[in-house]
Amino acid sequence: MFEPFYEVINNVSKTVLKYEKEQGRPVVGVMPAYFPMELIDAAGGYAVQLWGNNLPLGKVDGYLQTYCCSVARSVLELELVGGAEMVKAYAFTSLCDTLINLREVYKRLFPKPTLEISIPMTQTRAARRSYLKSVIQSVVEGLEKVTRQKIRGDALAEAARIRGRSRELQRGLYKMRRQRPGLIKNKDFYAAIKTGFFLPPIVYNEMLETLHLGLDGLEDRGSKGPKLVISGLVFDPMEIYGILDELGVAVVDDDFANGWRTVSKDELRVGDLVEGVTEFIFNPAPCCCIYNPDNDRHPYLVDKVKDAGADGVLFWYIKFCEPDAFDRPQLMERLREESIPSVTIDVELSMTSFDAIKTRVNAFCEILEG
Amino acid sequence: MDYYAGIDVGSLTADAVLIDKKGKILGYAILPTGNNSQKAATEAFETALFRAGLSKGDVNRVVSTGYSRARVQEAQGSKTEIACHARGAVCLVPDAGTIIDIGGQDSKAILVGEDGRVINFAMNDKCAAGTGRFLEVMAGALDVPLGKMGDLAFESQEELTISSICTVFAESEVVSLISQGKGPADISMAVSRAIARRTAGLATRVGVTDTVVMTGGVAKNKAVVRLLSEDIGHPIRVPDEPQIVGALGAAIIAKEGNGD
Amino acid sequence: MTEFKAFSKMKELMTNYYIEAKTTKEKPIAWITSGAPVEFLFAMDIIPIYPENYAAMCAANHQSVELMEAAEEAGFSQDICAYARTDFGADLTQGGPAGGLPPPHFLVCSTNICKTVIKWYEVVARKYNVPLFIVDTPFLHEGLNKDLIDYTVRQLKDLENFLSEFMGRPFDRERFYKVLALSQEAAEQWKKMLYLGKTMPSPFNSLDSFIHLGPIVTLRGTKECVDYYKLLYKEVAERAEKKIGSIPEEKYRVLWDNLPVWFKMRRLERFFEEKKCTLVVTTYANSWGGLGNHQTEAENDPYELLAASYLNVYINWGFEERIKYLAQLIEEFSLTGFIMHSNRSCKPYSVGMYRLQEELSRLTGRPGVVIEADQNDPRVYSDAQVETRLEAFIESMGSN
Repeated sequence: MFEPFYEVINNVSKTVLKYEKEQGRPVVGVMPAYFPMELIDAAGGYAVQLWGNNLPLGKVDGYLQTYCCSVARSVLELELVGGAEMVKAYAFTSLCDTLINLREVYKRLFPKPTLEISIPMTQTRAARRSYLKSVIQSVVEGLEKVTRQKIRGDALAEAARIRGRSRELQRGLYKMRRQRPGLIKNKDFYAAIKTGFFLPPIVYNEMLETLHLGLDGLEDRGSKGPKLVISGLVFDPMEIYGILDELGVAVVDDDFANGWRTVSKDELRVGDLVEGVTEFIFNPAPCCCIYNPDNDRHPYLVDKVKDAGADGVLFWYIKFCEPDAFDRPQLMERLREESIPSVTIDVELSMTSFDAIKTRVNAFCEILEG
Repeated sequence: MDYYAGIDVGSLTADAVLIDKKGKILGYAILPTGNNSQKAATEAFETALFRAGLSKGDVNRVVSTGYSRARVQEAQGSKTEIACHARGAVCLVPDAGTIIDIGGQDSKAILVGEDGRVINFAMNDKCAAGTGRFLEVMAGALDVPLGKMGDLAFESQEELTISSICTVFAESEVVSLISQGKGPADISMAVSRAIARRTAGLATRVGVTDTVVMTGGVAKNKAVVRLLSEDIGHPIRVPDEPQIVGALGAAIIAKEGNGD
Repeated sequence: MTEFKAFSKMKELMTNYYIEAKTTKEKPIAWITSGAPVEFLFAMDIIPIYPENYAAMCAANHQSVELMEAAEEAGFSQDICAYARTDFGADLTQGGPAGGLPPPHFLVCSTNICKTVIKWYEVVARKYNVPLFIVDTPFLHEGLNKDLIDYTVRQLKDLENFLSEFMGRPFDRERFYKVLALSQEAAEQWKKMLYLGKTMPSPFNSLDSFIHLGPIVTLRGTKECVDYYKLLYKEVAERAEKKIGSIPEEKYRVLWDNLPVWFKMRRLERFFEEKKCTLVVTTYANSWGGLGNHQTEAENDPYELLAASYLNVYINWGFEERIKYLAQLIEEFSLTGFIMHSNRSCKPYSVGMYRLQEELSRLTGRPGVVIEADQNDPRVYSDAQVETRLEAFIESMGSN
C-alpha cells in the first residue's frame, strides 16, 4: 500500500524531473519552514520542499562550518554537487539565523533568484500586519518574475483549496494513527507525509485518497510497545523509524516542523492574504522558531501527550539547531512535573551509524515498560 | 543445570558471565572485540563456559547487551547496557543508587530505584571527551600503557588543564603539553581530571545518591575514580571486576526470564 | 594591553554600575541585549542589565567553563550560544565576578544582533515569569527601506507604551531627548577614538578596544559614559600625536572580524606583539560607533533615524554591504590583511564567513584567514590550531 510513496522518496530527482517536464512549470526549492506554497502554485511554479537529505557531506565544508545544522549543510551540498540543477529559484523564510545567512550564501554563489518571507517576530500587531503586507508584496513580485506569470485571485483560491485538501488528508492519517496505534508502521507513515514534499499537490492528493481507502479496510493490528510523541524540527533520518518499528514503538503523534506543525494548518485564507499568511505562520501549532507567547509550547505539548494517550516523549534533536535546543530543558522539566517521561536523541541527517540511538530509545522503552 | 549467561559486546571488549540460580558468578571472560563482534561474543561465551566447567547445554538462557547485542547468536534475548549495568551494579552493591559507567564509546550515568529498575539515565553528547576511547587515545599520545595511566597520575607534581571537549582537540592539547616538556604524570592527571569533570556533569544531571557505583573499564583507573568522587562529593564504590558488570546484569536478567 | 590612565576610571565606572544594579531598592531592572534601544529605559529611570556583557566578563576572568558546565548539567546543549550558557550557569549558581545578575523585572531584546536572542530571553522570561518586549529588526538582505523603518518605529512607540504602563506614569519624552543626545555623543566619541587607529603606528590595538567597550555597551545614554570616552579619546589622541604605537614595532596592520575570544585576550595579545602585528580595527567594536546616527533635537521626530540606526548594524547586513564595508576599512586604515573569527557561538556573524573571506581577499588583494574558535568556550578552542593558522597568515602578509 505504501510502495508508491517509497517509489517517490527513494527517487526524488527522477520524480521531480518527471513532473517538471509534464507540467512545464519552473521548480522552486522551498527551504524550511512555513513558506506558503500556495503562492508558488498560483504563480505557476512547482514547489519542491528541501528539508535536508542524506548525501555524504564534502563540498559544503568549504562553505559552511561543521557547527551549522545538517539540514542547511545537506541542502547546500545538494546544490554544490549539481543535484539541484532543476531548481530555478529558492524560497526562504527567516526561520533562524542559519537560514537567514544561508540565503546570503546562495545569493553570492548561485545566479538563481531567492525570495524570503521575513517573519515579523513582534507583539506590536499593527506593525506586524503592515510589514508582512510589504513582505508578501515583494515575494509575490519575485515569484511572478521567476514564473513570468501573474498570481490571479482565482488561481490562488484554487491553490489554497488543493493544498488545504493535502493537509486535511494528512490530518486524516494523523487521526488514524492516534486512534488505531500500530495500524500504520512508523516508517510507512512518514514515507507518506514526506512524499508530499516532492509532488505536485494534486498528484499527492490522489495518492492520499487511495491510501485512505486502503487503510479504512484494514483490521487493527494493535501495538504492544510504548506509545510515544516525537518532538523536533525535521522528521528525518527515516532509518530511525525502522528502529522504532523493530522495538514495537507506536508513534501516536508528533511535533515536527515538517510534521504536525505544518499539517495542522488550515486552508490558507486568501480573502485577506495578510491575515491569512499571519494565521498560517503563527497558528495553530506552536513552533520553537516562531515567537508567539499566546500559543505556548508547554501546555500544548502536555495536552498533546495526554490527548494521544502517549507514555512518553522522544525529543528528536537535529544537532546544532539552537531554537530547538534552547526550549528543551524547560520543556522536559515541565513534562517531569506532569510525570511524563522524556528522552533526547541527537540526530544528524547525514548520520550512518544508529547504534547509539537504538540503545537510547531501547533503554527509554525499558523504563516505560517497567 | 540451572545456569544463566550474560554477554556484553561493546566497542572495545566482549565480556561473558555465567551464574547459577542463586546469582553466584561461576566464570567470566573479557576479550577484545576486534573487528568481528559476533566471533568475539562466541569466544567470550566459550571461554567463560570453560572456566566455569560448563557446556552450552547446561545454560538455560542467554541474554546479550552492549552495542552489538543484536548480533549475538547464542542469546535468546537482549537488553540495553543501561538496564544491564543497573541490574549488575545493584546485584553487587544492593543499595546502589547512582551508577556511573564509562564505556569505550560512551559514558552514562544511571539512576536506579530500590529494585534495580532504571528511573533515569543520561549519556554523553556525541564528540564529548570522557570515554574509554578518549583515555585510550590520550594514553597513545603519551606512549603510556592504558593500565598504567591511573597510577602514573598519582605521581603528578604540577596541575595542568586539558579543557577541550573534542577528543581531537584534546589530543592536540596533550601533544602541545608534551612539546612544552610537561611530564607524563602531570598530563595523565590532567587527562583524568578532564574525564572526571565531564562525567560528574552527567551524574549531576540524573542525580547523585548516597551510594554511587562505578562500572566499566575506566573504573580501573584510580585517578579518575578519586577525582570523580571529589567532583560529585560522594565516595564511589568500584566492584572488583568493573568490566563485567554489564554482562552480569544481562545474566541476572536471563535468570529472571526477561530480555526481549 | 596598552596602558591607559583611563582604564582605572573605567573599572570604577563598571564597578559602580554593577553595585548600583545589585543594591538598588527603588529602580526596576531590565535585562537587555547589547544592540537594543536602551535610551528608552534610561528615560524612565530603569537600570539596564546586559547579560552579554556579564558573560564576556566571566570568560575574561576565566570563569566561563564552570558556569557553562552548570548550565549543561541543567540540560542545556553545548550547541547553544556560549554567552547564553555562561549566563544560565551564572544565574543557577549565582556565580561570576558579580555573584550573578540582579533578577529582572522585565526583558527587552532586539533581533539586530541575532534572532537567537529571542530564544535566550524566552528561557529567562519563563524562569522569572516576567514580560519580554521584542524590538524586531529584520535582517537587511537588500538594505534599508521605508517599510523596515516604519515597522521598527511602530515598535519603538509601542515600547514607550509598554514602559509607561510598567512604570505607571507617562513616558518622559523630555528626558528621552536628553538621553538620546548623550547616547549620540558617546557613540561619536567612541567612533572618533576608534578612527585614531588610522594613525601609523596605531596608538591602540583592538584588544584594547574590546576591553574599553564596557561603558559604551552598558552606559550608553549617561553623562558618565560621554565623559569617559572624552577622557579616553584625549589620551589616545596624545599617543597618536606623538606616534606612540600600541606595540614596540608595527609591521603588519590587520582587521579583526567577529567577537573577541574573551578567554584568550592576553595570550593573543602577546602572540600578536611578538609577530609585530597590530589588530587595528574591528567590525565588532565599530558597531557601537554606528549607533549615533540619530537626530536629537526635540523639534525633530527622532524615531525614524533611531529606527534606522538600530536596524543598520553590521551583523544585520547582507553580505554585499558587509564586503563593501570591510574593503573600505581595509583601505581607510591601510591594512595589510584581515582575520575572521569563525565563532561557534555566533551564527549571524559566522555562517557564510568562508565565502566572505574569499571574496574580500580577491577584492582587496590582501590576505585573510579564518580561525575556528568561540567567544566564550575555551573547551572548543585549540591554541596550537589557531596559532598555526595565524602564523601562516602573518607569513603570507610578509611575502606580499
